Amino acid sequence: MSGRLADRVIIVTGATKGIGRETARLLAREGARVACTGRDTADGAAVVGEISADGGEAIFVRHDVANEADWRGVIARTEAELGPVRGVVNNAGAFFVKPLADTTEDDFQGIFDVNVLGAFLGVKMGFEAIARSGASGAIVMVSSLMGQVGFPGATAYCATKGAVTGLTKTAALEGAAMKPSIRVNSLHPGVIWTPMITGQFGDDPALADAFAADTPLKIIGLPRYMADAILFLLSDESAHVTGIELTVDGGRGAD
Amino acid sequence: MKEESAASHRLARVIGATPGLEAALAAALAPDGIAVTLGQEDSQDLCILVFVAQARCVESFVSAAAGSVFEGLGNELKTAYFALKTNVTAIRAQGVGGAVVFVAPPSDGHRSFDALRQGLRLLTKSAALELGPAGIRVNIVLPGSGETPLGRACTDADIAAGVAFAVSDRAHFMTGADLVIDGGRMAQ
Repeated sequence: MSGRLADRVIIVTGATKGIGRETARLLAREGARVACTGRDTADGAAVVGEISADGGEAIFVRHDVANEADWRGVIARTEAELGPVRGVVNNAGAFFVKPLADTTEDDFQGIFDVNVLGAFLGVKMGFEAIARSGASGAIVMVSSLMGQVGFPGATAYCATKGAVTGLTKTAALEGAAMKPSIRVNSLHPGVIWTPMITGQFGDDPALADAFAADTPLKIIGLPRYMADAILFLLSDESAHVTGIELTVDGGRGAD
Repeated sequence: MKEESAASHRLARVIGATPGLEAALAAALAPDGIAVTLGQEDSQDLCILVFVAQARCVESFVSAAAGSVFEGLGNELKTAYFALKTNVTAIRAQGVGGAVVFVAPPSDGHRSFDALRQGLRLLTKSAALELGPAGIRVNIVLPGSGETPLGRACTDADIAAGVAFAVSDRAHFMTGADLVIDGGRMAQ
């Protein structure tokens, strides 16, 4: 299949919803064979069905990103069914809004496990798998504008995304020293209209309008925009890009 | 795979690029249906400005003549500002949005470039905030050069690929952003 990622095998975590689902579909349209992972089997089957209907190739693997054995299973199945791995999109994430005073140790541990331990395992396992392919590779960490600025009520979330920044830059330097090299970059979305946002704030269209009004470009962020940025960071168009924070937020962070 | 824009007829004005970068930009923008112009003539198709900043390094801020420092930094920032003002007025008049990309001078160890790079970064962010409601996106490409963790220098093709992404519909929600293309240099 032709396209910017022709015949490359890419793992996308959290591919059952939102940004991950749209990304998996776009990567497949650009020629990638995509391993979609997540916790919801029904949604996983649905995204694989969408990709097949588009003429693409994908599998779904049930996956808890904070579990190393799960990661080994994901990679083994991906290599067996799709071929050597060339890229990973560490997209799976947890989010909640709660004042600092009400955030418990369990709350913090729970979000840390998904957003930091999960991302760490994704890079570690991704490096192993890509190195086995014998070719170069790319890893994209889906972080957040909240990994760059604070947001009242999101202490735990912001802390996890800040941690991912240091993880990304260090992994980028280790990946650059590998032969062939592996590039690692983080994407920092602004407010994107996904189940992660609507699950916390509701899905009232008036809220989407309010978010748009609060964004310099005056539009609401859509998963497709993030998928396009992830595609850029995975493709050879960004061959000299590594260790960067790419903010795609409608201009919100420029203020 | 370029369904959204291949049919449209769009023009990008490129200012300040070396012949090598001009050629790389023309090649990178063509698949999106964007033609490059180096001239200053008015055109209804103008929707993109690419301004490549020129820098003149000084070895020492203290011993260099003050005039040469300002020539390298202040004058170029002023040139960037006027290029933005003039071309955005033309782009905005079309009423269909557009994109601006500043390309900063490379971070190659000449610290005298850094003030210009940061000046251009903040010019980018301020312009992004002001022009966002008109659908005009403003971003900056920050190239590196020399030794990098990836083991090679940044090429014209690397810069052109980043500019092409930043001005394309694939960066529809990206404005006020830094696109660093430096092989990992700034991650160190």
